[in-house]
Amino acid sequence: MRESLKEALNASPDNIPLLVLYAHACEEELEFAEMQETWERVLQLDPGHEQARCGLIQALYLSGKVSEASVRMQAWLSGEPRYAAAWLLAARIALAEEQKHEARSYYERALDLDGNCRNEGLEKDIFPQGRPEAKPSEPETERRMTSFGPVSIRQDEEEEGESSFSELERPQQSFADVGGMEALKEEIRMKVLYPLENPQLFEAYGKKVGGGVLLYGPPGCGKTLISRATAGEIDANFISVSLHEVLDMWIGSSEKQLHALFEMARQHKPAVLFIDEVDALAADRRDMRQSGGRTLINQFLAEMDSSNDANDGVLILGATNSPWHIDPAFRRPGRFDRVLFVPPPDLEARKAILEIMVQDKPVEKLDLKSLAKLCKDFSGADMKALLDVATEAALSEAMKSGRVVPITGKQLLKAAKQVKPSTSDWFASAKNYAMYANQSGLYDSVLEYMGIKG
Amino acid sequence: MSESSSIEYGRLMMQRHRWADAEKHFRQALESDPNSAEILYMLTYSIFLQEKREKEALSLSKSLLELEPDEEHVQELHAKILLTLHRENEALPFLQSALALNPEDPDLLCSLATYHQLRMEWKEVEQIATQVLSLYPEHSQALQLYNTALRLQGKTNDSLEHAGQLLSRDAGNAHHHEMMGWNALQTGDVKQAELHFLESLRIQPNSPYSREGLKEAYRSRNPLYRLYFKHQMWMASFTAKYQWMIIIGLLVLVRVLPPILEDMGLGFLSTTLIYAYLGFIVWTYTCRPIGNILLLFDTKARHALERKEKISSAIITTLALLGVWGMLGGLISGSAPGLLYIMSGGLSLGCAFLMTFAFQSQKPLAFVFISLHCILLLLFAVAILAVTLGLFLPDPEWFGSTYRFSRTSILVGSILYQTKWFQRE
Ligand SMILES: Nc1ncnc2c1ncn2[C@@H]1O[C@H](COP(=O)(O)OP(=O)(O)OP(=O)(O)O)[C@@H](O)[C@H]1O
Ligand SMILES: [Mg+2]
Repeated sequence: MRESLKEALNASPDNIPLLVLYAHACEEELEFAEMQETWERVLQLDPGHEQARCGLIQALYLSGKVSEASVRMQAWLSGEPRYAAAWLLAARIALAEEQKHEARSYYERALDLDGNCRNEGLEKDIFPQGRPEAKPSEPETERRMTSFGPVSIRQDEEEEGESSFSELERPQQSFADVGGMEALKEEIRMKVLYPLENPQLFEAYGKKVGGGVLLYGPPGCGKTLISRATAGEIDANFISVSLHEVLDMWIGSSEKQLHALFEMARQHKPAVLFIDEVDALAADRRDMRQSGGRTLINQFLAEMDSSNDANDGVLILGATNSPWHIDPAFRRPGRFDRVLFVPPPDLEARKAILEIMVQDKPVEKLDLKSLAKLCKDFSGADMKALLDVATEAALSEAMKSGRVVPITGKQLLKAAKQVKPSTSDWFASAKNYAMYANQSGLYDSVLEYMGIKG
Repeated sequence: MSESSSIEYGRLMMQRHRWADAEKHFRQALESDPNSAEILYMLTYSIFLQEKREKEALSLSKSLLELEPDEEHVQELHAKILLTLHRENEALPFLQSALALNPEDPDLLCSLATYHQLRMEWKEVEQIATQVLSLYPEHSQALQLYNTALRLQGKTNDSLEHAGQLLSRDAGNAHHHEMMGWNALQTGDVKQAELHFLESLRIQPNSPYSREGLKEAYRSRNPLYRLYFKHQMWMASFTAKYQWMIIIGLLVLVRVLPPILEDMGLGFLSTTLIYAYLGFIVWTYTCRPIGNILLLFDTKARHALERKEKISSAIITTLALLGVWGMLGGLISGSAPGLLYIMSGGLSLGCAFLMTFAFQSQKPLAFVFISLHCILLLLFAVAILAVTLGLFLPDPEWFGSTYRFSRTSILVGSILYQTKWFQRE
């Protein structure tokens, strides 16, 4: 198995899935040095590859370099990865270093992220008396002290078990947490906030408050962030539905669940019902083969209809990066009749994002503005990748010298050149829709952003 | 999220033609079960269906073949990927072994028809498409193959009627509009073609074929380009073998005729003939990039071009214009320095011709090599011009050897740069 994979790799040495297969094969055959090399290769190709990062640390740990593994793990955990396997491995390493208390909290954290990642053997070692049953859900944010410094743990309903359903929440973010994007904020104020804040004004003109607003744009550019911030700006209840909940509705063809969701919003109005990746739920019926799917979409259309008085005071906020996959019926008046484009972060926003990201990292004093200028067309997620690359570089320096050295401006600039902006793919495809399928000027803002008119 | 739900979500996305999203879910599934050939298969498929990702898909399907060499689905997928990469000869054995198990599978048969399409064997394409349609009259790919086969065999009346019928049955189908577009192009009805391609794109904005068709329609507004398009379609109606015979036949004609003409006292005709032949070849290769330049002046058509197309057409047009200018200037002045102008103009035209191969190539290294070759030729051209200005006085020998070297290198390059070494990996 390993040999044949190796041959395949000789033919295409940059093939990540193949490298992943090969690294696993190495692990099975206890070739840890080779395993380490392979994961390092994957990380070179894709610095954000979480599995590889985890695999690399595991290889170090398995080959007995426990303290090196621990140092690397610490650096990773400080960024609070949402990757259960990392916390599981951290627990194992902490156990090897006889830090029982840490091991326990890491293990809990892993289970929080993914209830399915239970490991009997490890659990026995960590909790010789048996693991106490899960505590009742905790408040929004809790800080736990660990040997790696404070790790803030947010209870996020999106990441919990799949059966659990959305709950009411009050997002902590507000527009102040969203860097730049002033034009968009202003539009949201006009189209979302004022109506909800001044319903009597609207009533005087015989208009109802509520309906739907659709945000669209390239991935990683802050749609989710600004939606949450919108809710934080007003005194309304916020109900957020995640992609996984939606997909589970599909697989279970569960119109009931969808109805319950809207009922919950209606009972708690004024309320914002936020559906992330809404294209998954509002899919184009023409793309559907089975009628089961259509029923769910029809149900969604019916629930959204604002002619339904019960929807008064319920605002439906949808975010998507493929608005063209949304059934046109959802754009009729009374449904998602306000459509807003969320462009890649402008210079101001990029600077703000960088500021937020370097906040709790050891970074040399530097001019973030000029770095932000280099990040043209970068999404927020791209900038995160940039910082990861620079952090890795600083870390390998640190490992050589054995003490913490700050991330230098040079490392950041170099990383900015390495990371390629990921928004261009989105625009390549959006351009076609905007040029050829721009009914009723839906994509005018995209054309404007790209400098294409007419 | 568990592995099985990742697969489920991925399938859901595949059903909705959302390949990139499907890819994401399959990758997740593969992470939790890296040894599963089934997930790797679906991952490969989802990548293959995305534009310009065929090469990635190919390297995955290769590793898949190692895991499951006898699985017919794997063979079929591998063959399909090879076909889209125009590597039809490598695809054939996989197609055949998959067909041996499933001789009536419509998709496999369409892949076989595509194999023949790539070899320009239109009779076979028509025959296989007819066979599929007799069992599955609505098979979309078979309908398209059938129509293309008719059209390129010169049966334009039949193909036009066929496309018209399909369109009247279902005017909301992007493929039908696209089909009409190509037929309209072939019959020279540029306006109609443009409308049909636009309609097809309105329904399916990401269809690369309709986008290509629209660009052809825009370029065809120019009569010189329409002539070229006619010529292309005429050439396409021959199989690849015949196409070579035509080119070689013309070359022989150009080689054989001059002495005969000379005997008849028509020596001047023989040079004209050679130039006409060379001009014709250069025209057929540079017509598309030069046609693209015209699009740049149209506000609407401009955005249909990709960045790469804009750059290549700008470079090739500039070289060709310089070449034509030099040659014409030289011919008009007719004196001794005129000959020098003709020489440098010819070199520039030769560069325009060679650069078309550089831009077609999928290999960055080949691009660099051909570009360096052209830069060398252009340096010669500049040196020759310097002579006419009296800035540079080489010995007469220099001219002869430079001229011979350039001529040979252009000739060798024009053959070499079309080969697999330079064009494909
Ligand atoms: N204007 C901004 N200010 C501060 N942070 C930002 C901004 N834009 C993006 N980010 C950061 O970038 C990351 C990605 O943003 P987010 O998840 O909101 O993107 P998205 O548009 O919802 O992407 P997707 O389409 O993939 O869901 C987040 O970590 C967010 O903090
Ligand atoms: Mg999001």
